[in-house]
Amino acid sequence: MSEIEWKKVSAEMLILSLVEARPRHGYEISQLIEQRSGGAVRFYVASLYPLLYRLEKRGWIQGRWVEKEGQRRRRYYRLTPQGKRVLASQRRGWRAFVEAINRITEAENA
Amino acid sequence: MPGWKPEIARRLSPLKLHPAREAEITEELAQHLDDPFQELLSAGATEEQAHRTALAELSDEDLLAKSLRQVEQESPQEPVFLGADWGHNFLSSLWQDVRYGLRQLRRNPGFAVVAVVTLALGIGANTAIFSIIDAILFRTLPVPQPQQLVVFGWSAHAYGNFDGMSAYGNCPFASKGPHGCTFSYPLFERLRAEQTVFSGVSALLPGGPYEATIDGHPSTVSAQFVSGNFFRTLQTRAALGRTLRPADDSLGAPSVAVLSYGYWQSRFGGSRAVVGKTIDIHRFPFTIVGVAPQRFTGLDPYTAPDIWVPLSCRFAIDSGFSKRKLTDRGDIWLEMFARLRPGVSLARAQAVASAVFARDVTTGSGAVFKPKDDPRLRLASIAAGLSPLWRVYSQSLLLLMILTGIVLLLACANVAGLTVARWASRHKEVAIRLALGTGRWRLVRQFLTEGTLLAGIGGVLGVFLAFWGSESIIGFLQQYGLPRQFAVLPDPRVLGFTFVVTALVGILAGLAPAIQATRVDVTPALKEAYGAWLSANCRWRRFGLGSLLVVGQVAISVLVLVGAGLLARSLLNRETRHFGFQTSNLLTVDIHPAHWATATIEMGIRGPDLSAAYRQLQDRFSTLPGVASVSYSAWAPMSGGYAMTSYSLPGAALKRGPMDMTGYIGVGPGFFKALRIPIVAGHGLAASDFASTALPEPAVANEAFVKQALGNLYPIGQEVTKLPAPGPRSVRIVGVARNVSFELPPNGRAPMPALYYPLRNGVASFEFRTSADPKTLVPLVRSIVSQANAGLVAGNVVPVSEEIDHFLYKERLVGWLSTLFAALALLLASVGLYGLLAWEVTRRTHELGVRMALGAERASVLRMVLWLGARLILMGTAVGLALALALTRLMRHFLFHLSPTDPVSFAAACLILFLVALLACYIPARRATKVDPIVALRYE
Repeated sequence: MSEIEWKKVSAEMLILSLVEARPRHGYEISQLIEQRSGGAVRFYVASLYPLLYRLEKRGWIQGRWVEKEGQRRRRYYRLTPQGKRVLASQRRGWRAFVEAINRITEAENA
Repeated sequence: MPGWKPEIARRLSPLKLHPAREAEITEELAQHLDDPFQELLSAGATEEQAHRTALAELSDEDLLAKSLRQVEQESPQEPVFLGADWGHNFLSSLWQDVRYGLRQLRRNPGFAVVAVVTLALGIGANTAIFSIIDAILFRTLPVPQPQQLVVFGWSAHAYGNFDGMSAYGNCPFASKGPHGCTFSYPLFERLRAEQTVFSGVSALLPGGPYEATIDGHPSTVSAQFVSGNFFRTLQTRAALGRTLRPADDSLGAPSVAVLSYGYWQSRFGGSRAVVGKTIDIHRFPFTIVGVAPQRFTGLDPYTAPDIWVPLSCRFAIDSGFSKRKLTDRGDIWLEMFARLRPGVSLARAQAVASAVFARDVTTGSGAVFKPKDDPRLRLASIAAGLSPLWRVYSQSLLLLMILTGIVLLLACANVAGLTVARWASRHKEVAIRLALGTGRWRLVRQFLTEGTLLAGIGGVLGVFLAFWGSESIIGFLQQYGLPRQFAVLPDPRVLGFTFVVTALVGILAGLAPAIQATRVDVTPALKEAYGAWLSANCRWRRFGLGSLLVVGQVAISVLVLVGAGLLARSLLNRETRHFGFQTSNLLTVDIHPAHWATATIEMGIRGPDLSAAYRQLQDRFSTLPGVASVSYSAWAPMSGGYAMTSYSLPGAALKRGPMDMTGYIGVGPGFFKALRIPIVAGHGLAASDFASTALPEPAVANEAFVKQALGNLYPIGQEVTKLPAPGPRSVRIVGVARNVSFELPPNGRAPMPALYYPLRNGVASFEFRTSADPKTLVPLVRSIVSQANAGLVAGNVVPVSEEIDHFLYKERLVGWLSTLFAALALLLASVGLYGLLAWEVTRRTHELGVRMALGAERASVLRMVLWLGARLILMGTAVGLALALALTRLMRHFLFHLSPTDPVSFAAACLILFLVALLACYIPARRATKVDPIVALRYE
């Protein structure tokens, strides 16, 4: 896989894993990514939403307008069963990739 | 909140998204921008700083559009409804309508499924019935140039001086005066020689069921006797082996047979080794020489036989069938048909053949007609086959077609009702589109397209349903004697019919919303929320178009239910009341001398004295287990045979003139008991009546005879005289029996006057009244007959109730299908009612919530909603009853001993409808009681 594709896959994977535990809305997702990466990874509106819509179109996540008490209507995204399978396989691929990278870089260090 | 939306919308504008989609994205992104804005503000930033930071999220001017374009245009969604801008040409805008319609359906899968299934049922039922009508009425015979085929008939001012006359009930010529379709053998030979206008003239004798034995297994076949050139005239080649040849049809030629394709398949499994095999028909061996083509039915698609054998064999298998028939010009017994030479008109052929006919029947020593009787030959085209059932069927089929048409109307009403109910949710959409400049005509077309789309999907499903449905109907008919060759095939006419029906349905189903679409007032519709619009436009207690449709559906359901009820009860009457004697558990067996093939000819009049043998058999049979009673008569009931004669009446009644056309039926001892025919006066024929041969003979008259011949005279002891030669025979009436009908099919005609007299000579048919399935008796009866060693054999075996089934299948089919369609109509009306009320309950959730919050009890809410439905049902029922009272008179023709206003049918229809419809109301009504006031009050 080329570098660009890995970037794309990893961005998808980030979003899929963030909505795995519970449904989240777009702003929440972008905040979480920024916080958990210590500000290293940031999604702007112009790239986050197109990505969300693409994942939704593929049927991996599903967005729903939800109105909570005292809050505005927000669109929450949740992981679909299909998305769950995709995430699992992406995780496996990612792990294998990281391990391979590690083996290469560790050998160099030794 | 700062105005994010214009900013976002500006960036989205190059994408030309669907407005709804654009609005959705704009809202979501605006919220996303608003969140950091609010956070920054609360963290102490100035509004201007916060605004700039938040806006930075959108990054480059065109990045959003660029990355969204890939996603949103993965499956491009053009905006479809911007009126003039997009309607470049008719076809492309039509395509837009179709896609838009499809999206609408996808968004409402529940509605789409109900609508499509409803329409599929309606269209399917219509297509099924039409395909059968098509197959029965419009299809031509599957032979080359069927339009050249003609059948012969004759008419005259008076009946000729016939030595014998046979008729087979399938004469297509209708005439008030004397007429017929049978001819003498010598005339057939003359016309066959007439080569100038005909390329072939053939004769046939419609066969009946015959006992056949194949490899030692007995069964029944329907055989037809045809002249040797039969297949040549029809220009039909064999599918296997050969067909009959002229040489096969001569006395003394080896007897050969040609099988029908269906019989070959069902009886021989389509084995090619069948050629050369032997099949015994009435113990007479025939060699199978070939198989007819698959769809070949002979002349009559309805009575297509299993097997064709040469005419000459009719004499060989039955010594009772006199060879004099071959030379006697006064014995008319053959049906004839011909193929016109190419280019010869029917009129010219008729003129030529008529001259031959007139010469033959009016000249010479054996002249049958006097010239002043003006005997004429007539020709009629039989391109579509010679079928007496045409006329009979066409009425039943017309009735069924009307019924299915009604079902289709109901289906349309249902879909229209559902669309109207759904209308509220699309009201705003229409207003927006109008505001955006879509023409009203375009909107009307949009709704019509959606209707047609539904109908189209329904139509495709309907064709499959129809295929399956007509298969089952044909299967049903084939159980009752429809020939195996008969098949319903999808053909262009049927598909064309379905197409037209589908288009009409589309228009009907789309019309109601389309009309509403043209009435939308844009500004208020846009301003109002839909709840407000509803409460303004659909006031409580006024459903408008929707309820009108439901009332109509209920009314039509009542009408159809009443119709179905009448037909069902009429069928019951035909089965039970027509015959006047008990038809169940009755078996008839012809028992006749072994050298006689069919015991139907001249039976009971001439022939050996078999009374002693018959009495012995009767005694022996009566001891069989399961036989309640047994007797015999000259003709089996339902065999269609009886002798007619004339009587002169006793002095007092003589002024009434002689009694013509009186049935003259020889019976054995215990006949009335075995058939369970009630004796209403005097007594039946006792054993002593059979012992003495003194005149006057004792006889039992039926009520019709008494009424017609004797009027008010006390019948017992009256003497009447049988008129024709040889010599008058006087008869004394000793009893009066209830009228019975031995006629099949039941025709509802006034019963024939009849006299029953003791049968002394001639052959007879035995009647067994059994306590269980009568067919189990057959082997026992056969073995007893052969053991009795009186030179007798048991011939045709007929379980009477089965025989009646065979003749009632048309009524049964109509009864069965009309019940099915009535059920369908009821179901559709219930779905309509359910849909309307369910919609009403949803619409009024808020109000129901208020009521419940204010203390209304669940029971009263239930009652309220039920009453709403019940009112519609009652209105519909009233209209339906009025319609039924007015229209069932038209069905009089189909009803047997039943008034078209039969109260039982009417009451039953109303009751069934009311219960089912109320059930349909109950479901939404119950849902209404489950409304949680808290939830309901938050609704909208």
